[in-house]
Amino acid sequence: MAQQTFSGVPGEFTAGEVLSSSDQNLLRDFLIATIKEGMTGDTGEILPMIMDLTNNRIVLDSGGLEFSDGSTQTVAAAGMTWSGSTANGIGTYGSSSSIVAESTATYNGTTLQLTTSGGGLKLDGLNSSDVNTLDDYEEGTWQATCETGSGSITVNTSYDDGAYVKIGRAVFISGSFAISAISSPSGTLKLLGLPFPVGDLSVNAERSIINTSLFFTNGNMNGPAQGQTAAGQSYIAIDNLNGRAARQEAAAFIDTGSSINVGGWYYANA
Amino acid sequence: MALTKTVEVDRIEVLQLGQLQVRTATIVVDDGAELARSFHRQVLNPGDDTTGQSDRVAAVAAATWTDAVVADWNAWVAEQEAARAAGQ
Repeated sequence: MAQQTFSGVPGEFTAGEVLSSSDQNLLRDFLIATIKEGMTGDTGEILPMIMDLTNNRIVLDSGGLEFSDGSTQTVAAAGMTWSGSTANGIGTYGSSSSIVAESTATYNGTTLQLTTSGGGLKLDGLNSSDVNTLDDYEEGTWQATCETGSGSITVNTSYDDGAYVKIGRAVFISGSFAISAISSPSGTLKLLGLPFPVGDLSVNAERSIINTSLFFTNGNMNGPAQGQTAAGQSYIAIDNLNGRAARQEAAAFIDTGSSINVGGWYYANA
Repeated sequence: MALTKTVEVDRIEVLQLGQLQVRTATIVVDDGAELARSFHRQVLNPGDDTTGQSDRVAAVAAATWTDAVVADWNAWVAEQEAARAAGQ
C-alpha cells in the first residue's frame, strides 16, 4: 500500500486561532493519510490498525476490537477457528468460537434432511463390524443360469436378468426367467447367479425360503415350487412340494417355454 | 454434448471361502460429468471357469484359487449337498 504524501508541517496553534487555508488543507491531508495508510512514527513503524480503503478492509496487526458507549468498553468476539484435521471434512460445534473437524459426527437434532435432488446417503460396502451400523446399500442386476442334476436347462438370454437391492446384509431379489431349451433335465434344480453369496452362520440360521413359482411346466408337477438358499452358495435350490412327502427335485418338471419366477430376500455373507 | 458409456469391473472382493464377488459398473458420462452408474453382480466360486471374465478378474482368480483352496471349497460344497440331500 503506497504511502499518502503531503507537504509542509502545520505550525503550533493557539486557542481560538483561525487556521489559514493552507493549514486546513495540510491538516486534512494528514488526517486522510492517517486513516488511509496508518500513522507512521519517526521510526517508520506501522501502528497496529490500518484502514485499507483500497481493499475495503481494516487490518489489525495485533490486539482486537473494542467498542465503547462512552462509559463501558466491550471487547468484540474473536473470529471462529477450525480445530482438528480438515481432512475429514465434517465440521461440528466445538464452542462459541470454534468449529471442530470430526471423523465420526454426532447429530443431536431431530431431523437430518438432505434436500438436493440427485443426492442421498452413500453407503458403498463399508464393511463395518458393528451390528448396529448400516454399512452398505446397493441396487443392481444379476444374471441367472440353471444347473440340473443331469441333463440341462437353458435360460433365454433375453430374459435372464434379475434385480437386487442390498441393504446391509439383507439382499432382496426378484426376477422372471424364461427357459429356451432343455435336454432331459432331472434331479436337482438350481437357479445360479445370486448377486452375493449367502452367509454362513451356525445351525442353518442363514437359510431363507425364496418365493418361487414355475409356470408352463410339464404335466408331472404336482405341487407348489419352493426355493431355498444354502450357506455360502450363490444359488436357489428349487423343489416341488408334494403334501407331506419329502420334497421333489424339480428339474424334471421344466420344459421348453417354462418360466422360473423368484422374489424374496436372503442373508448375505457381508 | 458427448455421451459415452463404459463398462468396467469396479470391484473384486475375495471372500473367506475363496469366492470372488465381482461388481461390474456401467457408467454414462456427458462431457466428463457422470450422469448415471448402474451395477451388475456375479459370484465366482473356486474352480469356476473364468473364460470371458476380465483380465483382472482372471488374474485375481488365478492368484486366489490354489489347489488347496479349490479342494477345500469342493469338500465344503459336498458336505453342504449331503446335508441338503439328507433333508437337513
